[in-house]
Amino acid sequence: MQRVSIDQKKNTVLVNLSTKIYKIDKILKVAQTFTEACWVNVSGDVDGAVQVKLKPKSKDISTKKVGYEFLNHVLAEMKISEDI
Amino acid sequence: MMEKSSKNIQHRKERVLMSINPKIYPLEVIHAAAYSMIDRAYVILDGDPAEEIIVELIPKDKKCKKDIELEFSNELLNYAVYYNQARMNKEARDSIIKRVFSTHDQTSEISEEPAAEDVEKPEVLETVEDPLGIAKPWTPKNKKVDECKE
Repeated sequence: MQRVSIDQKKNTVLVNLSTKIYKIDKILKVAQTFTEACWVNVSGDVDGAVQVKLKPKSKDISTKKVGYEFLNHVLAEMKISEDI
Repeated sequence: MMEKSSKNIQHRKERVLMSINPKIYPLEVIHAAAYSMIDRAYVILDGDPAEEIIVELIPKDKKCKKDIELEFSNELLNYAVYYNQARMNKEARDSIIKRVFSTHDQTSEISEEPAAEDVEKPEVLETVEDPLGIAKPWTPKNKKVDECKE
C-alpha cells in the first residue's frame, strides 16, 4: 500500500498512516488544523492503518505537498508529546 | 569510508528509504530524529515498532538530497545517546523535582522555635552614599509635562 497517493483528476491526496507509529489522537488533531485549508476526511481502522483524504480548498495549494506536510505535522505532534 | 548504499538504505528516484531496527533505536528516538529533519525533508514513517521501522525521506530541496540519510543516521545516534542518558538520570531528576515541589515544611521538623539569629528581621532599605550627587534627579522640579510634548 502506498503511503501517499495523489489523484490528480480529483485534486486529492490520500495519506496512509499506521496507528502503530502515529497515535490516532495526534492524527485527528492535525487533521482538524488542516480543515482551514483543506477538506479532510479520516477513515480506516484505528488498530491498523488510518486513511486521511485531503482536498485543498484553493487551487494554489499543491496537493502533493499537502500530503507530505500533513505527515510532517503529525510527526511534530508526536515528538512534542514525548519526553525526549 | 562508509558505503553510500548499505543494506538498510535504499536510494530511489527522489527519495531515500531506510530500514531501522527498533531494538537498536526505540520509536521515541526515531520520532525525535525524524522531527529534526522536517525542515529539510518530508519524513514518512511506516512499519512495525516491534520488528522493523521504515523511514522515507523526501528532500524538500533537491540540492539538499546529498547525504540526507547520513545526516538522519547521525541524528538517530544523537538522540539514542540522549535517550539512554536521560533514562539513566530519570530517578535523580524525579527526586529533585519532587523535592522542589514538595510542600513539606522542613523548618518545623528541626525545632519548634527558631533561633534568635534565624528570625527574619524586617528589611530596611539601606541609604547609599552619594558623594557625586548622581542620585539627584537632573530634571527641573517644576517642569511641566506640556513642554516635553513640543
